[in-house]
Formats: sequence, C-alpha cells, structure tokens
Amino acid sequence: MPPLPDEDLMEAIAQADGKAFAALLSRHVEKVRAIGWRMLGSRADADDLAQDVFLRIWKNPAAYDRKKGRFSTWLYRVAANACIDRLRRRAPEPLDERMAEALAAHGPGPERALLEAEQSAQVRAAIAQLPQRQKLALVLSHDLGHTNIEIARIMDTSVEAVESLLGRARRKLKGLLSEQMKALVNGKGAEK
Amino acid sequence: MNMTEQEFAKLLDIHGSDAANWPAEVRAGMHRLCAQSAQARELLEHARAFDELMSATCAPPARAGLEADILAAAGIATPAQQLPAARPANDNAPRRWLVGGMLAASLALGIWLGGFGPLAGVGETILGASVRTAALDDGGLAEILDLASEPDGQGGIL
Repeated sequence: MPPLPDEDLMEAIAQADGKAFAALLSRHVEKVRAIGWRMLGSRADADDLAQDVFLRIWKNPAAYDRKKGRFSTWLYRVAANACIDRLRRRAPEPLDERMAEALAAHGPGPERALLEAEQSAQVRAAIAQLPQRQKLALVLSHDLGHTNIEIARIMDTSVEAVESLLGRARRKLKGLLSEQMKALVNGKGAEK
Repeated sequence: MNMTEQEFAKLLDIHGSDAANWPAEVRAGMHRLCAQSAQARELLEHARAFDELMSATCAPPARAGLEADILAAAGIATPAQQLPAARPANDNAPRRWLVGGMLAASLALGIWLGGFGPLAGVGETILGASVRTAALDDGGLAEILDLASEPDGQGGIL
C-alpha cells in the first residue's frame, strides 16, 4: 500500500491519531532540522527547533489548511518563521562556541575530524553573516533540493526574488569562503 | 545568442553548479561555453567546490532519541514503551513455577509408584534424583529446595 500523503496524515492528526503523527514526524524531521541547522547554526538548536515545530503541529493541527497548499510548503514556512523568532531573541554566538559545537558534532577523532570541524565552523560562520531570507533560500535550494518555483511558494514570493536571493547568497559566500574553495580546487588539481 | 562568462557566473550563483538544476533553455549555452572557454571551466570548478563545501557541512545527525522524545512530549507512546516493563534481574518467578511443577510431578510419580509395593524404593530413588537434578541445574534454587534436600534423599515434602 502506498504511504499516505502528508495532507491525509494531517487529517488523521486532527483526530488525535498518534500513529499518523509518528509517520509525519519520521518523514519530515530531518528536513526541519536541516533548516534549523543552517539558520540557527547548532545541532542542539536544530533538534530543539524540530521538537518545537512538531509539538505545535500536534497541539494545533487545524493551523494547517490543505485548501491553501501542500503540507510541506506550510511546514517549511512554519520552521523558517520559528527560526527567525529564535534569532530575534538571542545574541550571536562567538565563533569559538560554533567550533566547539562542530567538534562535538563530529565526535572525537583524528586530525581530519578537527580539520572538518574547523571547515564546518568556517562555513557556518560565513552563512551566519547572510540575511535570514538568503539563508532560507539557500537551505531550501541546496540542502533540501527544492526548485526555485517551490522555494518561491514556500517563501511566499516570486521566482525572480528567489533567484535574486540565491544569487546574492552564493556570491557573498563564495567571497567569504574563497580560501577554502581554492584549497579544494587545488587539492583536486594535486590529485590529478 | 551566445552566453558570456559574466552571464555564466551569474547563472552559477542562481542555479548552482549542477546542470540538472539549470533551466533547459540555458543549459545548452552553458555546455557550449564550457567547451570553448577556460575561464568558464574555472568558474564551474569553483562553483562545484562551493557546492561541495556546502554539502560537507550539512546538518549532523539528530541527537539519539529525538523522535521518541518528541512523541513522548506529545503524550504518544512509542512501540518500545508499549511493551511490558522489563523483568527485574533478580525476579526468578518463572523458574519457581518450573521447579514447583517439577516437584509436583515428582510427588505424583512417587505416590503412583508407591502404590506398587516392590517398586516403592524405585519411586524414592527417582524422586531424589529429580530433586538433585533440579538443584544442580540452577544453584539459585537451593534455597527453594532446602525442604526437599533432606539427608535421606526423600525430602521433607514427603
């Protein structure tokens, strides 16, 4: 039997069906975490965001109206708004803390893990400098693989605006991460 | 109209380095330019490095038990929670039932054999052997079997 679409699961959740909620959670938790990870910059925050978003859905399933569009579009919008709320409430973290978090995320290991953690922290620090809407467009495009048309729906804007957001986000990050990109390109050249 | 390197750089920023994500109408121009221009190939290589950097820093795995925590916070029991609670390590109730059953069977056999005069001794021997076997099988049963392990080998139960 094919899996139930998200919109049908939401109808079951409105009837307090715990199994439907568990299925929806399992299907989307990583995507919500991906948004939290890029927008908020830490694994703990991404996990907390996922918990917060899914509990809101469980407590108030009527907030979603299937007549207004796909569940996933609505979910990513809810997740993005929750991120923006959190960012408004908190002071920026120093880079050292992001490094520590990146190290913890990779776990203890050899020098390579340290280098990867350092690289991860640098990328996250660069992403942290982007305006929120550019960050969101980037995560939806790069990490979640949405087309620009889908991103426009999620962000409630035009395709042209999404293209502009993505163009500016990538341009800025390429400038901030030029050294890391050069190292990658040169590393490949050396391998050849 | 041919695509310029400048236009190509702009499109790389909008659509990324994977040609599959590019609109069909500009894809052919992209390939043509990359075939002709070293500068375009360099731009593409850097865009790929950027995408690689982004992919290498995707979200790490969630903390262990995140989904179960969310379900618990929602008041939904997970399948693991619906299973009966684990039996305490020192709870040997099933073994007691087993021993009790064995003793009852031995008793019944002893009484039955006792009905046959010449075989009465055999019954005693079988009962003694049965009790000893049970005691050897599980040292923890010694306490339960204290009554049954009288020196005469017949047991106080009888």
